[in-house]
Amino acid sequence: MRSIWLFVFSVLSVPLWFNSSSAADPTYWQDIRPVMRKHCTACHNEKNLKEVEVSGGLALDTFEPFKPGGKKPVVLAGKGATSPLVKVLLHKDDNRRMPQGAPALSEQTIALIQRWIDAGAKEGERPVVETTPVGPVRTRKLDVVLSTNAIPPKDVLGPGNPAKLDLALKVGPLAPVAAVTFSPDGKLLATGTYGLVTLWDLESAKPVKTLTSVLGAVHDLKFSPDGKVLAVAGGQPSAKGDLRLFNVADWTLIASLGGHADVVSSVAFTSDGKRLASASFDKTVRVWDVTSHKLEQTLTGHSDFVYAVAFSPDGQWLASASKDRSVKKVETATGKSLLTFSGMDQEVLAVAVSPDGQQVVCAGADPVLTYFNAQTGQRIRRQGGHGIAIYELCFSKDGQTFVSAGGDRLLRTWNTKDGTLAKTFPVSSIAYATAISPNGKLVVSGSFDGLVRVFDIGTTRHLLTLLSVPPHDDKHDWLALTPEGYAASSDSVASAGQWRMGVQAVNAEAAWKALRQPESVAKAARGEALAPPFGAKQ
Amino acid sequence: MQSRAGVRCLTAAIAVLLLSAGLRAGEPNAKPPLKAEPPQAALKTLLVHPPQVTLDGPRDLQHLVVIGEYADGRRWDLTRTAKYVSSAATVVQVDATGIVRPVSDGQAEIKIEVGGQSTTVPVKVQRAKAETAVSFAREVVPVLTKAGCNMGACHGAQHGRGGFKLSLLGFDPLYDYGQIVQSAEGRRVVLSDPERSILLQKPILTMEHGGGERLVANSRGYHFIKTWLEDGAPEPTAKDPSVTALDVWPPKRVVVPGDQQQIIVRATWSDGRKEDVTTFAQYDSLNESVAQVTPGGLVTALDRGETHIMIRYCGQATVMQVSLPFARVEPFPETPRNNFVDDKLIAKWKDLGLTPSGLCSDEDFLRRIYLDTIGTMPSPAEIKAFLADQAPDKRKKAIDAVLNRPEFVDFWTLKWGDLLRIDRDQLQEKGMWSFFNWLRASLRDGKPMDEFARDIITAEGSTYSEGPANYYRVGRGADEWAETTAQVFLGVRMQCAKCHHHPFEKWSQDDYYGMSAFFVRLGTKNSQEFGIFGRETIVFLRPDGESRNPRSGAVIKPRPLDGPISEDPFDRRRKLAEWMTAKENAFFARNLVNRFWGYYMGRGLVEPMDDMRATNPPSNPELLDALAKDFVEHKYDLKHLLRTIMNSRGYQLTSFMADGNRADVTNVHYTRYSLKRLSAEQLADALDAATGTQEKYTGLPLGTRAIQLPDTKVRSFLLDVFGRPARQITCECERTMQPNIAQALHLLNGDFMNKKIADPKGRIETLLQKKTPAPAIIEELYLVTLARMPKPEEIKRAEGWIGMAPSPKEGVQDLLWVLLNSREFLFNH
Repeated sequence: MRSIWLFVFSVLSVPLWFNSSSAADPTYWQDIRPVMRKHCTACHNEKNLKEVEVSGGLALDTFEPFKPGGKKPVVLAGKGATSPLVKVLLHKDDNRRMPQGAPALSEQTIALIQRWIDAGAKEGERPVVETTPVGPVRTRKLDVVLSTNAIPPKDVLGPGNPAKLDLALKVGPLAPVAAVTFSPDGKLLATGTYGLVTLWDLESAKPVKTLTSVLGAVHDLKFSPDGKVLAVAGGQPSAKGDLRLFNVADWTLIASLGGHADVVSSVAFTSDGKRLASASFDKTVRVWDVTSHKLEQTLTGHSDFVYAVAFSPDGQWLASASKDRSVKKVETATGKSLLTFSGMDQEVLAVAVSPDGQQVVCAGADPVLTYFNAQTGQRIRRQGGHGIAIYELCFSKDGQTFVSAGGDRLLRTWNTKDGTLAKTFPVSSIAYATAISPNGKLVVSGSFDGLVRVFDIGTTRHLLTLLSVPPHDDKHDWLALTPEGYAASSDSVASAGQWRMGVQAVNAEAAWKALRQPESVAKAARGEALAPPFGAKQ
Repeated sequence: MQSRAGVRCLTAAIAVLLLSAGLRAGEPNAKPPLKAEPPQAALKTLLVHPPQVTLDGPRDLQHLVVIGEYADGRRWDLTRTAKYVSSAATVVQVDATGIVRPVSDGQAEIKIEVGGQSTTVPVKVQRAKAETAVSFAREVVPVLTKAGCNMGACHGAQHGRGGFKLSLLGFDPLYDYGQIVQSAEGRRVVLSDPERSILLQKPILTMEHGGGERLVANSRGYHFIKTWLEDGAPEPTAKDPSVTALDVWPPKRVVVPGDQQQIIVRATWSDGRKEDVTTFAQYDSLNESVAQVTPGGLVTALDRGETHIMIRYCGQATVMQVSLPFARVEPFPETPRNNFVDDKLIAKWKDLGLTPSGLCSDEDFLRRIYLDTIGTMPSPAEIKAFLADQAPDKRKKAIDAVLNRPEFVDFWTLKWGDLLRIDRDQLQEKGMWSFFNWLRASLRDGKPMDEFARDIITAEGSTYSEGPANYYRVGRGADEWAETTAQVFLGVRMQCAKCHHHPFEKWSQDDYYGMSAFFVRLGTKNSQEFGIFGRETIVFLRPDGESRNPRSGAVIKPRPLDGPISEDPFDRRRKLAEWMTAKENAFFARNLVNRFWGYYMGRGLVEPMDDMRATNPPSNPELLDALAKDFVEHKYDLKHLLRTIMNSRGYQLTSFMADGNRADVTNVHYTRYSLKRLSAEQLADALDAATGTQEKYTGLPLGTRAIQLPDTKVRSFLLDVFGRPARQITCECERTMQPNIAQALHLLNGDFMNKKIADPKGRIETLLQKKTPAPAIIEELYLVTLARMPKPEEIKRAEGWIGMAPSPKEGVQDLLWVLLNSREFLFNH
């Protein structure tokens, strides 16, 4: 009997001991930091501090903001219920409640936060983390090297054998360019990379605007059919999707459409401009009302990442492509599933609907393109392709051709009618994005090397290479370079860029003098022929 | 009968208890204290490894390990207590744990001081400031592997995890590169701002991660990945080096419970580079109850015994031996020996402080060699004759006699039938008989095992007339033939390497397809025109055909494991057979002697017996080598091998524990004979013999014994329930010795046993008809079941039971039933 009592006592005494101890009070390191990491720090982190549109100027990835006496107090120690942090988590207005565009935190989690503040918002013991010293920290940039066909004359550029000039810029490594699109009037080219959208004026071959208040990598860009709105899709992987609408007139933010729990991979407008569809790695497709910014449909038919979405010309239905190896056709107004296009062996990364609405073309990790009859769902053909993954597809406005961007470092254009290969355009890096200009004359690529290349569709001539570096301290470094060697650029690029022949550096001043010719670059952008530099004969 | 089953159960339970009191189970060991006392004697010398250090490149480092040697002969790890001082901090730094890091190019010394002793290690630093890009294959993949990212349960799973898939254990860097850098529009990395990459944010838990915290922020591994991203995430290339060897130091340690030892691992790359990979090597203890190891390579000895620490890095694997002697036996007693087997056993016992049990009784010995060698119980007459024999070498003579018994052929044909998977479903009945009869003939003729293997490997022709050609009907295709050949004849399991590098071995896909290439030109076809029987399969050779690595598509030339490319214009298999049975082959003889040792001793020197690899070392390597050498010297004569094993004193030890070996609970070191349950066929025949009945097997003449069955498709519930293998996989494990309730019920309650015991022509009826007196019946029943004479008190007790039974007949039946259900009968002991 005695032993039983002893046993009961020992079992009971353990929780009693814990309750009586202050060790049970929640602490920042023990209890709060994991919550912040899970729900808040995708946007509210130190690196986003300057992007007020993303972080609101608040970083929650350190203990600093929770300390008493700050300018913008997040917590009022001892007063859980009235602390701004708790209030914003419980806000009745869904647009102001945090986390933005995501479900509210559970009651237990909020209660935990409240209890922590009530008990004094203590930091607690930072867990001991063994770190190994790792030697000197490097702050170097890699050369990004752009090649040209320009051969400098010997007398101008000093000793050594003449060879083609390369331009080396210490700006690397660059993040991939995963989105390119033309404005409906064809005047603007929008390109997107990590944390940056650049708008290029194609008349002058210069950037007119950069947008940096975007979260994470930009995965897609689309202008509304009237050209008044630019939709920017991206986000923080496996944390939060980012879908923003910008007013093209003054580049102000119109709306941020929250709700995707992972990166928004693709976005599409209906031809009347009233609706917008967004596809996400969170496995959903959402349909939005562009004017009211209301969510109309959440389509959950895919079982894995959705990589791409496209509307039919009349906007009645949309097609979405997924890692689940299928393309689904869904009625826009009702969200009703109409058809599933299947038979692909691997993930489907891209889908496009022909301008006549008759064909759905998809591609992905399969080495070939697959064509479907949009009405019956029957496969028309499996043909062409890049022999390796294809990342994006885009039809020309007249529907005669479409372009594909592939892992074989090429753009390829195809004849819609019979699926035969029309032309190829060398990108010299994995091509993630492509677009055809509204007038059907230009095709552009965005690629893994962080560069944008512009080609003439008719002649396949490479017209321009564009480079845009995320701005810092209000300075934007950019470059537009023609294969002939003509360059237009920001001043700092012109002063820091190194011209060289192979490994041999050349007289920078002389080279820049001969080659920095924005007028020639603009001509190239318009598709006009250029004479070779240095007065050389063609 | 039915109504008495319950009574029988009860009597049986009691009787089993009585009879088996001496048959033992291991006692739980008291846990030793976990804190070892440092040596009290004077510190004599310091052993430092490596003796000199060369650091090459900015990210290189070297761990130092310091072991003290004391006046009393003990050794003690001083790595964590020694003081380290660099002679030139501008050249090389050393931290308190003995890790040496480069600062700038030059030469310096590390002075190591501890316990009044000191020594120095010269250090050379080169390329300390070189801007060498981080190599994905050499520096990043090991970090991912160490962190567990690419293990089978995480992103290394067949379909990956959370949409992110890596090659299993990082054996395909090019694939991993594509997944990390390029797939999903490069979402996993931000080259322009590496620390924002989810590749880094998730494993350090800055972002939520299903796998939890896998990397420590700013740790060395984190830094490698980050720097690699800063370098623009350079791609792996075909020219990237691979690891060719791992060196572990110390390679073995004798320790006491609570002892700790830091180990260091150095890798040699195919480009000649040697570097310290202690941080990123993976460590696993092969026996967690003997020693544990931290992810950093610090070994803690726990309990007495011997184990190994498995060390893996970039597709190579090795082990470090940890010995904790069970006791200090000084001086070690004079231990009798019969042959070289005993010498090797005794040497091991000395090392580990174990002393053997005594010799087994003559009765146990005779039953043992009969069951082990011919699967048959000795008859009462044979037992009595042996016991009466006074010759000093009677055991030796009995061994020679049993090896020449005709049942030898039956019993070992059965064993080889398992290994070669002789089965009518695979081979058709004619093929089965053809293979079976060839096997019998080979064993009857005493065909040397090398010739035996060559005959099988190079077999061709009709499966009806060429017995061994059936080998190529069991498996289908070159891959399976290569796998089976490696497992049966070399004891090497290659299956993993078909799809990915073997996780615990050095075998790569190229090794796998190199083996497969020997068989790739072999075909099978159904033929009417070649054979005289019709419908048989013809095994034939094609003039061409190549093996290819499925991943790279490259043609792989025939190459045996660890051997040279061996092309043969006519039949590549000849080269394989030659290589395999060459005297210097490291696999073949070792595999065979290990198996047969295991069959006799209840446990292979390497266990499981058909899983021989560097990371599964033998419990007594010297013995394995000696047996293999002797086997080769005696021209692969199987009977010679068995004779050697049986004549050893180690084989003839009793199965009772003794104080000097109680601590070796699982009897890894053979200080006593290991109990073995009778195999299904041994048991079936022993039941027949004991009850004086004969089981009739469908399709075979009456009198055919279980050990004579040609395959395992002959219907028998008893054989199935006692673990007869289906012969569908090439694995010793297919024959299961696991106990189950059906076994117990079949023997305790089943009609089967009652019928046999009460058979009108059976032993009991015969004895009773002859009006045999009770003590004589009791003696005979003891002899036919336990192969020993009953003790006087057993006779007395048995007579009492018989007297209490409703009739003498039932009493005698009950006695036999009790004996047959006793553990002493069911086990070979």
